[in-house]
Amino acid sequence: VRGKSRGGPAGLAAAVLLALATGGAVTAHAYTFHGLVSEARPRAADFSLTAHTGKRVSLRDFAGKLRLLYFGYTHCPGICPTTLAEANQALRSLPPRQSARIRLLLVSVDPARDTPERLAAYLAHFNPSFVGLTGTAEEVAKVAAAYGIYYRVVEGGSPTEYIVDHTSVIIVVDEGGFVRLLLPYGTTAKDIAEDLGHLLR
Amino acid sequence: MLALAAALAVAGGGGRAAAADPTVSVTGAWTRAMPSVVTAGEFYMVIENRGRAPDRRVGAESPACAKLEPYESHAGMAGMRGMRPAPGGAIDLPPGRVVLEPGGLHLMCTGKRIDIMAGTRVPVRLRFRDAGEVAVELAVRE
Repeated sequence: VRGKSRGGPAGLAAAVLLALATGGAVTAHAYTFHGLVSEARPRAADFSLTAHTGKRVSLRDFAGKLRLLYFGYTHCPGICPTTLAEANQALRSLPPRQSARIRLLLVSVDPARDTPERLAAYLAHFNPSFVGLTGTAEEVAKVAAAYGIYYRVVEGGSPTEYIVDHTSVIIVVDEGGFVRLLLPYGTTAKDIAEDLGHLLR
Repeated sequence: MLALAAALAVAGGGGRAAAADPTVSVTGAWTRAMPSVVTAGEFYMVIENRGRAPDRRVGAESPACAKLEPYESHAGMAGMRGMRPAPGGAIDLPPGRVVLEPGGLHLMCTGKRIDIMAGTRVPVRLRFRDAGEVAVELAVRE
């Protein structure tokens, strides 16, 4: 039974941080999640950003789907492709009736370089169902803050070639819009698939 | 016995090995297939130094990359991830194995010149201070 949100958008960032800091909480369920369980189940903050299609979309547009929120960027050479490849492999390993109920949303922490066109070209490589989201620097900053995501451009690059350090975690939002699970960097495709399969059982 | 003879031959040659020096070997080399729009990639492998003395990777080239340099991924607070050039631009090889893997030490390919597609292979030449050059072919995984 889904309880009422205890946190709301303001408490969400704190809940994400707490789970990352403590390694999540142990649950009494028969199934033990590989990811970090969000016991408080805060309501996921809604937002409106520009999708890779050029259309404005909000988190709510994907209500009824299990949403995998990931903050990253397309120039990211290792961490993001590893995460997206593992997530993609997880989705492909699930039966279609389950994977069809999942949407991965990549929110760019590098909106200056990540245009909708670039996001479209990038995500097509992984999975045509993946959604890329970008916006103004302020829009992205607001969404990231609401989810406890940190990012910063690393000094020493050039105006066009630079690294962005960022929190790398998949935030799993259930069909009703509540944060259920955090999948930290390094969670394998098999573990992601088992956790998502359990949430969709 | 043969290995010992080879090692002696190397030592007799002044300690600087030719390309076929067997003391340093590379296995399990791979990279991930990347979208065409991405001009960088990470190369992973296991470098084994079977010798008794430390060696050092001092250079690497690939026709696929304008530059190929060691970088180290690191984890910070609040699940932060990032990476930095490895100190000194070199990889130290004490006797034993050094693992280049996602989320850790790796070779960063920048200025990518070709599409790195799954199923293809990417040639890389690694240069070691003592062991000389080692040629490697990376497998490209999805």
